[in-house]
Amino acid sequence: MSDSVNSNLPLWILLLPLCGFVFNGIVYPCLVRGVSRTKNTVAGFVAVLAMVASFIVACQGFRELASGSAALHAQVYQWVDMSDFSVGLNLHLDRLSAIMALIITGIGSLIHIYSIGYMSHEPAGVRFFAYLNLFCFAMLLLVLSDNLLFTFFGWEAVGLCSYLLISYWYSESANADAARKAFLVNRVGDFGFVLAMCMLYAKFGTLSYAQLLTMISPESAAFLTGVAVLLFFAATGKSAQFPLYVWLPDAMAGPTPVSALIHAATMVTAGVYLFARMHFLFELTPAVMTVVAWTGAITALLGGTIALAQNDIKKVLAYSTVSQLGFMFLATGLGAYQAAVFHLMTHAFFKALLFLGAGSVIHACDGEQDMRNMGGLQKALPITYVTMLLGSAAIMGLPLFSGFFSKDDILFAAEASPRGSMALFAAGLGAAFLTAIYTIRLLKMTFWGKARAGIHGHESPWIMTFPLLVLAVLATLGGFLGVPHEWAHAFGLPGNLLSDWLNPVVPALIVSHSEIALSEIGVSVLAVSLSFIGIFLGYVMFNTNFNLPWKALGRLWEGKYFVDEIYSALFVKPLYWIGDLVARTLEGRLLQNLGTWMGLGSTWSGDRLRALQAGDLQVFALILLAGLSLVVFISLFWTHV
Amino acid sequence: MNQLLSWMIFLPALAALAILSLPQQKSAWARPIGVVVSALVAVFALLLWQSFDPAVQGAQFLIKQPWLPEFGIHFELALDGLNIPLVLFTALLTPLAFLGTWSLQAEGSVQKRMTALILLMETGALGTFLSQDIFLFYVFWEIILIPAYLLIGMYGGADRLKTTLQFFLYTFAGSLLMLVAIGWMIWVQKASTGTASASIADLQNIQLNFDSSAGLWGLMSVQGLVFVGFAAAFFVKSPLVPLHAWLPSTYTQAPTLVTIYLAAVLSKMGTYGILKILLPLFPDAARAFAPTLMWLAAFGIVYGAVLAIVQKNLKTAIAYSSLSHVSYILLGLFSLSPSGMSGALLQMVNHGIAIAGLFLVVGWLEKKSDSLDLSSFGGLAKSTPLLATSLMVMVLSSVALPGTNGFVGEFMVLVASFRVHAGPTILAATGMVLGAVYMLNVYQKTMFGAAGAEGLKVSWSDLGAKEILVMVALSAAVVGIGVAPQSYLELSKKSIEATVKHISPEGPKPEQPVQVSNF
Repeated sequence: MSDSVNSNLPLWILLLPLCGFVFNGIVYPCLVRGVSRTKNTVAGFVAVLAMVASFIVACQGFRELASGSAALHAQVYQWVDMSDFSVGLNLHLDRLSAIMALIITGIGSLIHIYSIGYMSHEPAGVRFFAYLNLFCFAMLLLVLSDNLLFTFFGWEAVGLCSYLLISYWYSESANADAARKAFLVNRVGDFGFVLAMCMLYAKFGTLSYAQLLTMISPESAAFLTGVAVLLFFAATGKSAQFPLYVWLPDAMAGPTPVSALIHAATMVTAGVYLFARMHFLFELTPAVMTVVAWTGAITALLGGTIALAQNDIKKVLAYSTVSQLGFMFLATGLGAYQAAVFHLMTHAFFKALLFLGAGSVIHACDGEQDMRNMGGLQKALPITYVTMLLGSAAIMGLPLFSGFFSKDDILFAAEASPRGSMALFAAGLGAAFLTAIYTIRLLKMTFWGKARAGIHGHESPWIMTFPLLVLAVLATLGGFLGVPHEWAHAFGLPGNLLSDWLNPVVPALIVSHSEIALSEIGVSVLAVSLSFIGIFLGYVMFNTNFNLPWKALGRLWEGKYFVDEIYSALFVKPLYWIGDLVARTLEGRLLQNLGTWMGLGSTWSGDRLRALQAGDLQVFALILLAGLSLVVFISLFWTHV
Repeated sequence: MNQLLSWMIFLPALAALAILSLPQQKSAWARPIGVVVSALVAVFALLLWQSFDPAVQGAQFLIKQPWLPEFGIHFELALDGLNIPLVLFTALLTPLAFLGTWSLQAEGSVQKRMTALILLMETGALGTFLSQDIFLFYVFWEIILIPAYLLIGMYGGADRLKTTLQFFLYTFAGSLLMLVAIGWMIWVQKASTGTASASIADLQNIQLNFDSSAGLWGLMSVQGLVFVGFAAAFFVKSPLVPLHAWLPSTYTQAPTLVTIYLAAVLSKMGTYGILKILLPLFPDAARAFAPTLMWLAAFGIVYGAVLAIVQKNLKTAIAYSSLSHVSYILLGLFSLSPSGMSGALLQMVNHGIAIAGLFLVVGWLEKKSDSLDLSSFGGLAKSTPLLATSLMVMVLSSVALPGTNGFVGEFMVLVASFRVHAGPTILAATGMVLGAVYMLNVYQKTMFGAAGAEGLKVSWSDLGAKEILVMVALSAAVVGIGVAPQSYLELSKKSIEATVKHISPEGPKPEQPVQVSNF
């Protein structure tokens, strides 16, 4: 395999969506003099064109990688170049970022096409398409950058786009609140990212992945643990892991294509990408990785249980996403980065499909999202129904569907990895079991049975069903990119294509086959039987009543474990309380009235000159000097103890 | 070319005199004259930028004329790496501020006086930045107080008298201490070298007695005392918490145009003074006190942000946000490292751009709804998309989103200060989160949601041509500097590195080769 090649392809992948944004965001509204005069079809066409073109370039890049180059490298420019701080924008398309770029531009294109139909009734949809293009640009920057700083550029910019798109219908205060919450929770995570970069730069003087890879050595374990914890914290926010997952369900306030693209297929997987990219650092901090694995397992279980008690179709999918992201974190924590990326990819297929299908349902029901008012939609929405059925089979991990292979990869890692354990394996199985139950509940409430609230719906136009069909094919067959070796042997299939592809950039999980309790096939059999039990149980349990049989548990899950309330009591309220207190006492009473207290205030009204007469001013100046000295005095004493 | 420096300073003052002597019935000419003159100054600044050579370290376009020779005081102006970003910024901002507040200024004699006084402030600000003589620096520093005092006192809000008094007391007390310190420095210079000189470059070479091992008692040494004298003036004006008490009411009460000038330009005089005078003149004291000051600056970031969060008045919230952001500049300066100080210098300009944009929007909102209460707005994004977009750009710059100018400065400051002192940096980085809290809060309360109760009554026309021009210019600066900051950083790179070297313990004193020309 040859070295990395200089090429402009990565730059074009990045710039095409940006061109789309500039056209829809600036040029087009200026040309027609006003956002209100723009046409959705023009805006949508340009946005789709930009994305499809970017996808084609990404495919070309993929082919060049396949034909032997290790990576395509583009030096764009030097961002800052000081004697003690210097970072440049360099793009690096290697085998990992190529997979990500294909997912972003490929699924992005499909969702853009779908949006033309979904947003057709929206006035001034140009804003929507501009944001969507901008998001794709930012997400591509995140994965294509060859250093942490520009990954952070993308990292924050996708957060901004998420903010703008969640608050797309900003007239509703609830949407604006959800957007703000998403941005702020992400910012809390980003605080960790910034500090991690500060630490790395202070120690190594670079933020480039390639240089860090050669410089990081296991010697300074405490330092590396600090960096790993901070980066993990950042990933927790962006990828909606426990305890920072609270923003993702609220983020469903945005239009459904946004939920599919940003809050299922791409942005929320940025944390997983970061782990895969920085694996050389994380592998040196096994303690942190164990925490990551457990965080993932807990998140997978939490998300799965909450999803059981939700009635909003998008909320169910949102918590399902939280749960699936937990699976990916479980995999990264175990060192099974390839399995995480594999699940990231199949999840992008089937979850985008499920969200778009949900969007099609909502579209057909004129905006209704409460599944209690749906039911019996399978006749009216045949294409949506069939594609969602395929997507559901994939997420439940029914044999040969994409989720089957990727989830089993993770479950196998949970028991076979050196950091794995039976407890983690059981948690993973439990989450897979929950997945089957809530998915059946969703299907049942939406498509099966009788129409409960008189909503009959109508099938969406072809521009929306076409992406559904493509995604259904991917969700069904995508798993064959990662057939486990045992299976491949048994059925004569090409084994582990994805894993072979990723091997040069992301290490494979090392398993000693003599010590494992269950073989890959054994894991599959166990997982599939649990899924079928889940399906059966879900079918029986929610036959007449869609509420959970256990009242208290149901309330806990419906209330999302009351994490929002805990945050409010622990952080938000005290912050405002302290702020108010300081504003009233120190600022309001003391500092603002310092002049009055000096005896200056009593006579000042209309008598300023007298107040400024020499005596008082000198006193004031002296006190100021004394105060300043006191501050320096105290602080000096402090620093020199 | 050199004469342009004097022209930049005195043209606004001359124009101010001309405007004040306009007959009453011609007072409508005041504003156009103000715009034209300040635009001319801006053109001068751009010309100087064109011929400024960033590769040369030290003063360029120097003017040096004896003024009070027995004290070594000269009329000494020059551009160098430290002041060129601020000179450019001030010169470019002034016409934009005039245009942006065109619809806000009152008519008649009020308009006349206001325009003239703002031009006088431009004179003072540019003079302060360009002075290479410490006494001249002081004179311009004081000149600016008079128009500021008059503008707030005459045209401020309901609480203007109390506010003016407070503002005056604080700034004037600081200035007095600085005057004493300047006198001392000039005297010491004469006593130690035999020749009197008030040139900042010469004063940098004085070694004042300072015992850095004495900790607290270092303050009582000569260098410690003089340091305090200068620090009082600069820290009040920046301001550094806890010397900020004048700020919230002053920014809130002052008319929009004046608030913009105070927040964007005047506060930079303080931070510039720290960079140009305080740190290089007293390197030992600077090194000894820097960790403490970093903690204070970091505390100021959080303090300003927390107070901004709980404000109910839109303008006061932005005022506290300004306090928080200026503290980033101070943090960078006290890190005493090249990228920290470069970041701080860039952040001076960045903060100026963002805060000018924010206060402009606040001014327009106040004009349209006659209220500054945050709860009286809402849902403006629908009726005023351009206003909403431009506010969004300023908000993003304020929350330091990567890709905007705010991020470049803040990140450079954080990286540099982390290397020096991790504790205050971690505290300061929480400002990233808190800053987003209040900024998004302000944005949401004004632009999103249903139309506010007041909003229903008022007709919200979108921006006019002048406002669009101003906001496009500011937004272009936000994105331009954010994406490609190096060309701006390059301007001051050499000077900053020389300054850092001078402050560092073993740093050789820089020789400054200059070409002296006549006025």
